[in-house]
Formats: sequence, structure tokens, C-alpha cells
Amino acid sequence: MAMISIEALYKSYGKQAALDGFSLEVEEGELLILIGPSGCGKSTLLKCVNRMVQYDSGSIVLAGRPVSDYKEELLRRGIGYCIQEVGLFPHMDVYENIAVVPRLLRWPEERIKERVDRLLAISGLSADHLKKYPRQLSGGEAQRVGVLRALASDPPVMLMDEPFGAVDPLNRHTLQAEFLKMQKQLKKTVVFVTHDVDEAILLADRIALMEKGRLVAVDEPAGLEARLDEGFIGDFLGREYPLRLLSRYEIKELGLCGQNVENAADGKDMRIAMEPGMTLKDLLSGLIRAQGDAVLLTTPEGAGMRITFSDIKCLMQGAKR
Amino acid sequence: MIWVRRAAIISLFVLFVFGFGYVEALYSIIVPLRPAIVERTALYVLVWQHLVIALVPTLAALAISAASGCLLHVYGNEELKSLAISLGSIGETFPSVAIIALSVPVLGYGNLPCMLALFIYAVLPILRNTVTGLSEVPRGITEAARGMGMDKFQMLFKVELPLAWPVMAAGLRIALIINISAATLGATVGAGGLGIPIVAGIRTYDILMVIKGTMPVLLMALFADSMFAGRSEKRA
Ligand SMILES: Nc1ncnc2c1ncn2[C@@H]1O[C@H](COP(=O)(O)OP(=O)(O)OP(=O)(O)O)[C@@H](O)[C@H]1O
Ligand SMILES: [Mg+2]
Repeated sequence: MAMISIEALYKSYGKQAALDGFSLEVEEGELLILIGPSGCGKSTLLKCVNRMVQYDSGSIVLAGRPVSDYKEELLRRGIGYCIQEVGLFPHMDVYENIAVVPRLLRWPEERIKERVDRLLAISGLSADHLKKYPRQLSGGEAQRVGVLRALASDPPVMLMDEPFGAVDPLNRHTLQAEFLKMQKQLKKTVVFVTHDVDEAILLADRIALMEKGRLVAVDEPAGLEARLDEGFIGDFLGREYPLRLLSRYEIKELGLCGQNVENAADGKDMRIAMEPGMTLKDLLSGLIRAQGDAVLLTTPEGAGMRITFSDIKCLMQGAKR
Repeated sequence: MIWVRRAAIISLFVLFVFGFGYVEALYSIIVPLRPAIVERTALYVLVWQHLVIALVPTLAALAISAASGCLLHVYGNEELKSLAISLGSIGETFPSVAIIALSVPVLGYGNLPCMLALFIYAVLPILRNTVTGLSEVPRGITEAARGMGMDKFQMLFKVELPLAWPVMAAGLRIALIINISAATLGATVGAGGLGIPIVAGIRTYDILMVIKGTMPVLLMALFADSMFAGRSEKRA
């Protein structure tokens, strides 16, 4: 059964429809990326789920119960929510910011402390940060704290509205990688809004593409590749989408170490040393730079394998992620 | 730094209140005092009266306008709020002498009309600043608070009031300083306080007497100001 199921949702502000018959199911433990151009209704949709916005018609069922059955405040305390503007409380230090929801839920203070320590351990922030105030944090640190604050009470469902929106690309990538690692452990049901296609490709179990308040397509990142000819999908994701898709696949996770150890002595091929975090995209870049049509990928253990252009597509299709 | 300033103001104040008798004695050697205008009330009593007349209305105004400002914020609509804000601004331009004079027909002579006038005078700027302060809390922050499941009152006490406090304090600062000095006008309608030597001194061209009344008022106003300076410096 779906964790969140949204059906035929309508919401308009005055004459303008922000949500125009939107339907979507989000499975338990799934990281669903909601993507679409600015103003297409992504934030509005999230706010309908936790009832910050009252929708006009349609239904939202959360864990088998319509959201309208819950008491508003209790519903929100049970859902992790990162708002687009981060919105840390400037008069509270980092610890107090993270502790807001647990305190609303009247957790004992030791339990909160334990929880904060655990969150800190998986987040890449140090204990020194706990006593800092939001104005003393960098943009990236503030967004991390925003995510931790949403995770604080260990809610099964998270709504994240461009949680890494205000960070520079380099930091952004670190945050994404951290978040992905975290999600693999925690297995939350996440609806994650972005308008960054690369972010969507990297993080998504499925991508839901939105336009003008409607759902245009929802599929795994690799599945959308086949639909690039459909007007809006191709326009929004970009014709180079297949190329971007390559960065989703980490070579290490493809499990090809030790296989195909042949021709290692062939001196003509360019050698590429395998590094942690290297993706198929890096491999393709290497292939383009190489003189011939193959490169020799060497693992730290000293094994090597010869990879050609056609291998890349095979690797991608064989990948399970 | 701020503590040095406060300590200096307090010691000057104490020195003045309890040492002024010696200055008067010295002065009377040169210029003999005219017995008719010798002040019978001790200076520290006048100071005490002055403090009560200035502080009680201001604190009452703080309580009333903070409470009504919060209620207005939680339950009121936009029109009511902007009404409160413009009333506050109008109130500030209204001279306190006029309010004191106007309250005499209602309450008669004495401390009460003066205190009522000062109360009215303090309510408006504090109310205005409470309403503005609460509505100026950035939307992202109130949205976050709501999104985490705080109800209206949790939002008010945990988030909005702490963030609005500097703005409210600015209103309180204005009201307090104005009231400390405006309380001297009470002497014209029969109230006690440091206005008595000032008014008497002006009537008899007695500079020393005017100074006797003004210096403590000045020092009290400076001290009140330094109380707020500490807060805003820490926050900035
Ligand atoms: N409170 C509001 N009052 C009036 N119109 C609103 C309100 N909130 C959103 N809208 C309108 O609804 C539409 C959808 O807004 P929404 O914030 O959901 O967009 P979004 O997809 O999150 O955009 P972005 O990517 O820029 O954050 C927009 O056209 C916006 O102007
Ligand atoms: Mg948005």
C-alpha cells in the first residue's frame, strides 16, 4: 500500500490554478523527486500534504488515513518538513533548533540529546556546531541543520522543499551525497522538491515531473530516458539527459571489479585509475579523451579492465540501483 | 563597557542626591538663601516620588499594550493592526503637556492625572512596536514554526515574541525616557516628583533649585537608556 496517495487534487489561488488535478502515489521507503519549472505548484503540493494549505478538492491519504482526519498540529509534528527558505529560528542555537519537534512531542531531554548526537554523527556536522546560532553558520551548514531539524523526531515521512537550494554547486554535491547515504540507512518515505535535474537524477528512486499543477510523468530516472521525445519532458529534462543520467551510476557499485581482467598489458589504451565516487560519466569523459576507443580502468587492487563505448550502455542497463 | 557606563551614572546619581545639601550650604555662604523658597522635602523623597510617577504608568503600559498587541496579532485582522500602528505614530506626536492638561478636568489635581497621562502616552508607542515587531517576523520563520506543528500560542511564545522583543524594547525605551522627563511636568498640576524644585526654581529665578531637579532626571534618563543599549549591542 502506498504511504502517501494523492488523488485528483485541485487548489487555486483566486483564478489561478496552482494544482490542477494532481494525482500521485508514493511508496513506503521511497525517495520521490518532485521536479518542474518554477511556479508549477511543487511547494503548494507539499503544503497540501501537511495541511499548511487547504486544498479545494481531491484527497490525500497518509498511511491509510485521510490527512483531513488528523488534527493539524499533530499531523505536522509527525511529518518531517524542510521549508524552501530553511527558516531556522535565529534566537535558538543549533541544538535547540533541532530539538523543536521532539520538545513539542514532550520527549525527555536525555532522549533528545541522544537523538541529536546520533543525527550529528550521520550528518557531517561537528559537536562544536551545536552551540552556534544560525547567523554563525554558512549557507551549507544552515541547510544541513534544516534537514536535521526535520529528521529530529525520526518521522517516517519527510517533505523536503529544495533543501539544498541555497548552496553553491560544490557544497551541494557533498550535501546530496551525505543525504543519499543517510537515506539508504534510514529508508524514509521522502517527497523531495527540486528544479535541478542533476540533483533529481542522483537522488531519485522515482522522478515525478510536474507542469502547471499537473503530473506529466513519473518513472525511474532511467525510464524517463525513453520518453524524451514527448514535448515537455524532453524540453525540461534536456536533450542531454542520457548523458547526465550516467552520473547516477557509481562504478564501484556496478560490481565489475575483478571481472574482465584481460589485455591488462595492452600498452596502447589510456589508463584511468578507479577512485571512490567515480561515475560512468567520468568513465565516458575518459573515453572521449582517449586516443583509441577503449580505456583501461585500473582498480586499487591492481586489476584492470578494458572498457569501450558500447560497454557503458551495457553497464548502465545492468545496473540495479 | 556598558557596565562601566551604568556604574558611573549610578554613582553620579547617588553622589548628587545625597551630596547636594553640601553644595547648597556652600552656596548659601555666598548668596544667602531666601527663606521663603527653601525646599522642605528632602531630595531623595522627591526622587522616589518621581520614579513612582514615571515608572508605574510605563510598566502598566508595557503589560497592557504587550498583551493587547499579542491578542491583536493572533486574532486581529490587517485593518485593526494598521490602525494600531498609525494610532501609535499619532500618539507620539501629541505633546505630553497637552495630555496632562486634558486629564486635569477628569481626575483633578495631584499625582493621578499625571500618571494617567503618562500611561496613555506610553501605551501607544509600545502597542505600535509590539504589533510591528510581531508582524515583521520573517515569513520563512513563521512558516517553519507552523510546519513543525506549533499551534498559535506556541508560535507566539516560542518564536514570535522572542524575535519581536528588540522592536518592542525600542518602543519601551522611547516611552520610558520620555516619561522620566515628562513626569516633571506633573508639578504644574500638583503632582510630586522632581518637577517641584524645577518649577519653583523657574518661578524664583533660582538656578540652583532648577539644577537640583534636572540633574537627577537627566541621570535617570541616561541610566534607563543604558539599560537598553546593553541589550541591543548584544543582539547586533
Ligand atoms: N499564498 C499564495 N497566494 C497566491 N498565490 C500563490 C500563493 N502561493 C503560491 N501561489 C501561486 O501558486 C503557484 C504555485 O506556487 P508554488 O509555490 O507551489 O510553486 P513552486 O513550484 O514551488 O515554485 P518554485 O520552484 O519557484 O518554488 C504560483 O504561480 C504562485 O504564484
Ligand atoms: Mg517552491
